[in-house]
Amino acid sequence: MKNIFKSLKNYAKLAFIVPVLLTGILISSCNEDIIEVDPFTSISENTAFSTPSLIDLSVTGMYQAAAIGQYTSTGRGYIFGAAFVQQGDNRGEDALNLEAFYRITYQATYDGGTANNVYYWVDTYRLINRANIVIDGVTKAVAAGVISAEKGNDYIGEALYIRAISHMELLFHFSKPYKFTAGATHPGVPYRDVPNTTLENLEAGALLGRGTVKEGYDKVIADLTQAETKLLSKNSRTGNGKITRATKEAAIAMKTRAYLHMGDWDKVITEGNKLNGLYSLTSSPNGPFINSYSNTESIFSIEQSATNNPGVNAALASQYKTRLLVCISPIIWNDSEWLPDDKRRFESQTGTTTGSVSSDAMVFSSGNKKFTNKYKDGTTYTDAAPVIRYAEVLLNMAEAYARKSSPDLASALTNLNLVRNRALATPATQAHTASTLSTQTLMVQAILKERRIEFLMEGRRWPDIHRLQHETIGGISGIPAKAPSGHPVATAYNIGTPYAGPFQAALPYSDFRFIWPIPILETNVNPTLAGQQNPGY
Amino acid sequence: MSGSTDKGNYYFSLGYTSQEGVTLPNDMTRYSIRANVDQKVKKWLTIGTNISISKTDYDGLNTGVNSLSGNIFNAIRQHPNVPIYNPEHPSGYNFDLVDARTVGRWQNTTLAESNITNIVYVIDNNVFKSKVNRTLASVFADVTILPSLKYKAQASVDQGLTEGFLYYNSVHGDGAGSGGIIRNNFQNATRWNWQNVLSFNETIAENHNLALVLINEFQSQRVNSFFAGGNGLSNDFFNQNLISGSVTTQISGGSMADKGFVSYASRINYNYKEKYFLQGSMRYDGISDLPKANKWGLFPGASVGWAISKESFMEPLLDVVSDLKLRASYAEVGNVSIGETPYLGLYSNYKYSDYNGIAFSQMGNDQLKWETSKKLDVGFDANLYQGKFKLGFDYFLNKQDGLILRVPLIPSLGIPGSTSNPGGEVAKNIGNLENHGYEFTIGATLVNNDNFNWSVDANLSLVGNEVKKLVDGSDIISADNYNLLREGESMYNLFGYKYWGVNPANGNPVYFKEDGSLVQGNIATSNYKVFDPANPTDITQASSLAATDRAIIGNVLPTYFGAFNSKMSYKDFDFGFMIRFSGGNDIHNTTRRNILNQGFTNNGVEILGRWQSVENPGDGWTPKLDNGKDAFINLTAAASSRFVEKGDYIKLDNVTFGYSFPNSILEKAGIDKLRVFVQGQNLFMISDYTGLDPEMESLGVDWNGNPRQKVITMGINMSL
Repeated sequence: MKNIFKSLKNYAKLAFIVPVLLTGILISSCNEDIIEVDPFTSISENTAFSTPSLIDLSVTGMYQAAAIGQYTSTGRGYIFGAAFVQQGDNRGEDALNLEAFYRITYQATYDGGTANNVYYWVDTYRLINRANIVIDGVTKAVAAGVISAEKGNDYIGEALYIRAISHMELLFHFSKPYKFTAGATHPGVPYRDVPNTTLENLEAGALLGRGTVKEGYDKVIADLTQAETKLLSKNSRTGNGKITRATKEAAIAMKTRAYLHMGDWDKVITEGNKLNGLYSLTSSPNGPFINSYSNTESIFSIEQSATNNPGVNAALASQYKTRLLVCISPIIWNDSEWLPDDKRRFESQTGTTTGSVSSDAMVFSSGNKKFTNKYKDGTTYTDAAPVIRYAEVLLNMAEAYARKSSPDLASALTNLNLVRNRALATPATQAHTASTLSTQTLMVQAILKERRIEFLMEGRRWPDIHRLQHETIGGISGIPAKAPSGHPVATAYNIGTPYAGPFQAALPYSDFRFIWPIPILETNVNPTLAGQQNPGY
Repeated sequence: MSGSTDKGNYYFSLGYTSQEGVTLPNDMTRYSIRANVDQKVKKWLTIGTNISISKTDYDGLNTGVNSLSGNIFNAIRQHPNVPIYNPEHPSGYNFDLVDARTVGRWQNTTLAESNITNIVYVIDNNVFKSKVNRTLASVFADVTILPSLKYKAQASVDQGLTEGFLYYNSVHGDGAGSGGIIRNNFQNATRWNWQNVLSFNETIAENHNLALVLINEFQSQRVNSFFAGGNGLSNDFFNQNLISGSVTTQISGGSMADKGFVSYASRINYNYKEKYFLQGSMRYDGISDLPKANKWGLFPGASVGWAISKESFMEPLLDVVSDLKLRASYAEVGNVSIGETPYLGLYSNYKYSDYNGIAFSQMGNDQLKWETSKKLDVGFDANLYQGKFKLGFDYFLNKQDGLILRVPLIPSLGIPGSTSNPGGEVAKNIGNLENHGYEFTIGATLVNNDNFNWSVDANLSLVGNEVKKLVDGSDIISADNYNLLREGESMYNLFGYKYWGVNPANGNPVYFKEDGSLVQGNIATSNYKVFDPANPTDITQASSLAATDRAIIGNVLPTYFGAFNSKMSYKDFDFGFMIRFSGGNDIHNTTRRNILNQGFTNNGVEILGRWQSVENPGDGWTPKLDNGKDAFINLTAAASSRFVEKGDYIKLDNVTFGYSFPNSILEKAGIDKLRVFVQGQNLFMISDYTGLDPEMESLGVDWNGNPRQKVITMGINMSL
């Protein structure tokens, strides 16, 4: 020790060492701070439902999963922002797929790894989990007095609505139709109603199987009915929110769709009647598209803005308009029942580019092909995605009136003509009448044709093909023959002359590809569903 | 420039590098300055500073592997009969006259598939660049407390400022749909580091050499960034930077994240007569990225060495064995690169249209623990015949315990995911992996005389690896369906369908099922039928190709690799080269599958070997064509052994030829040393791999990557 002090010849040395060491020690004492880091970009799960403002953000954030989704990196509108339209159209025969986009869907060459059906599944379940998180978080926040029960009910209603329509969309694509077995006892899709946010929840969730299609629809109806009681009416919403947020009326409208798929005609009518006087068709068939956020007809649509939309690879106006990836098939275009002067054929453009198409037009031409102009903003993609509008409720009811055990053809005709007549050039002479549609069969067939024309390029074709497999009147067997994927010859479009081919062969109902596989992404990690894969995959 | 005075040392350097890539535009320009200065202020105190500043400009392009204007994706699809330029078109480029978004069809009757763009216009007009300014600065103080006891304090900062710019032209290419796209971005990544080091060195009783070191280190890092830009340019004139008022849709955003690291470490070194060596170390590290209860980890290490050649009994052999040392070491190290706070359950911003919103964005795991790597190494180094020959041998065993991986979760549970795990993920300690192997090195001085010197050395590593244990013992399959982690197997094996070949009767692809039976993909109907080689025309029995039919179809990690080096000099000339080799691994050549696509785009020559008829069955490996059916014919959603190839290669990696000016000339000019040289890199390769370069793979998958380039460098080394 003596040596040490001897060697300290100079106190200056100490004067230097001591402050340096002290600084070191000072920093040491705050080391816990250096490694106690909280993110700046995200909110901890512990506080996400702790204030009214955060709760409101969570409910809005739920819709993002419906509008954009995640896809592989940037969202592509799975499922209600664009994909339900694109997949629903390209599975059917009334849209014609021109390029590699959607070709797998169009040609039914999908397997468990195909991106389109994989993300239909993945992004829909992500949306469902967000809904379950909202239900759970809001329920607890109401119990804790953070928000009022009234406010909480509206939020929970929105989430229940989203949960129901999401599961229903999955049932259309991954399960056989309701009437495949008597009592709909065939496999449905796992109906998830528990929020998955903790590792403990995951283990329980892994055990949930597919259940039956009946169980699935029953839960859809139960959720929608509960949503109907909890949700505010559209009249209590402001601005775009009347259409782009869930409402009591939207829950009712969706029930008409669910009951139609279940074949419960009376319930379709009961639910549809609840909306009498609340909505009206716009005077022009183009009305819901020209003003997609403010019109009397749209019941529920997903909102898109210039800065938040499915983007160049998915936005409806990008794919169907600017990029010309999918056109109207000559199969429906040439159909003689779609009258030549029907307003839904109206074209108005000053040049050959998509930018020269007038918003009044419902259709435009490019390279001898006919494209829809329902999605108008081909540059910033701000069109709403139309999930359900009143025209569908009316046609759902028309079909129910026509099909019910004691058909009411008069009411069916009234509803059908409400939708059809506004598009006719001269309704006085062109309208359907009780004498032109004198039988149940003629009536149903006319309604079904009207659905194909009215909802053309709105994604409704697949759900109709799906549910009509077991109907004797207007039934369809399998996926109908289509025009082959790719550019049709210039002479293919001829109003009134049925499309004569070439055809891509119909896919029989018995073919396993009539429904989609549960994605490999799921079966890789979920032994329960790996054992319940759709046969053939 | 460097030098020293009696009280200090200085070093200054200036640098300039310019590189052009093999694909255009893809170049890099770097300017750098370095300055190191230290000064002995007192006998017992040295203070100093090191500063290095560099500025790098990158000019790049869209290399998206699945992007229509991605350079490789696009270029390999262009039809050979379609020109780049068309003087008839107002732009001067070959745009399609009917559909100007697409490269011109020229004499073809239809457009190229997928509306691919004219890539040359895109490259000529779109801009993808970044500037990186990096500053590394440190100050230190060395204090000699006692001759054997030293203290060093060092504070340093490492700041990287990155300025990025992107412009997509509004006429043609990625920006055309949006009417032009422009983005400016800026990122500041700053890391502070503070180190206290106390070291004690003493030789006790002449033979006992002891060194003790205590280290305390703090590191704090912040990365923040923001960007602004817009879609829909009022005019392509405004394409040099985001200009206020020139865009239709304004877009902006930003982000910030912190990270911290604290370490207390000690190390003790002891040797006796430089004959017996002992070392022990202990670290206690804390990181911000683990949950509170598990932030700290203790990591021990030890090593022993024995210089046998210094033993008296080896003296008679000293002419032969000049130096021989045996050594063994064991160390545990914690992995600090595990991503940002992967353990926290988080809610992030998700806007619905223009309304603000938040949603569940990361699944939490408060049980997350340190990932530890435990490495054992045993070996020897030998010098024979006074250094004429050198030998080295090592055996290593590296166990990774508690490997942290973002594991894919059940998609239908709806957990947030990422690009690599779109079905949802959580960071988890998933299990234990093991790497093991042998390393051999050998070197020899073959000729050594006044005019001619020639020395060679070679090394070889033989390595293996195994997944020892996974949580629950269940497989982990990567979300892209290429790689598999399975207990008892190599890491990240390729996983997919086993390919048999082509049905000679109809051109259908044939695969093996799990039970070894064969199934053919009936191209006409896009579904699977039983294949019976004895009766190949039969397509009546339905079958399937299911996920359960997948098998391990390749090993992605090389089992051997090494290099051979040769250096020669004759008088003032020198010549050297290096050959590298590697192999034992398999590569899924996804690029090859890509250029066998079934749309109207260019294909690889492999398509010439396709089945065309019973009489003309092709190569037996490539199925028949059917427009648009890539997904089915080439099984694009999964891996298939059809596209798996050996990754073995031998490369002439480096050749250098130099000339040093003789001292007699240099002395007059006051120059210490002057050498001119030519160097070639990546000159030559022997490989059966059919892709551009077997090193372009990542986890055994080669997908539209940009190749390594041949580089010829000419240079001058001069010291004053």
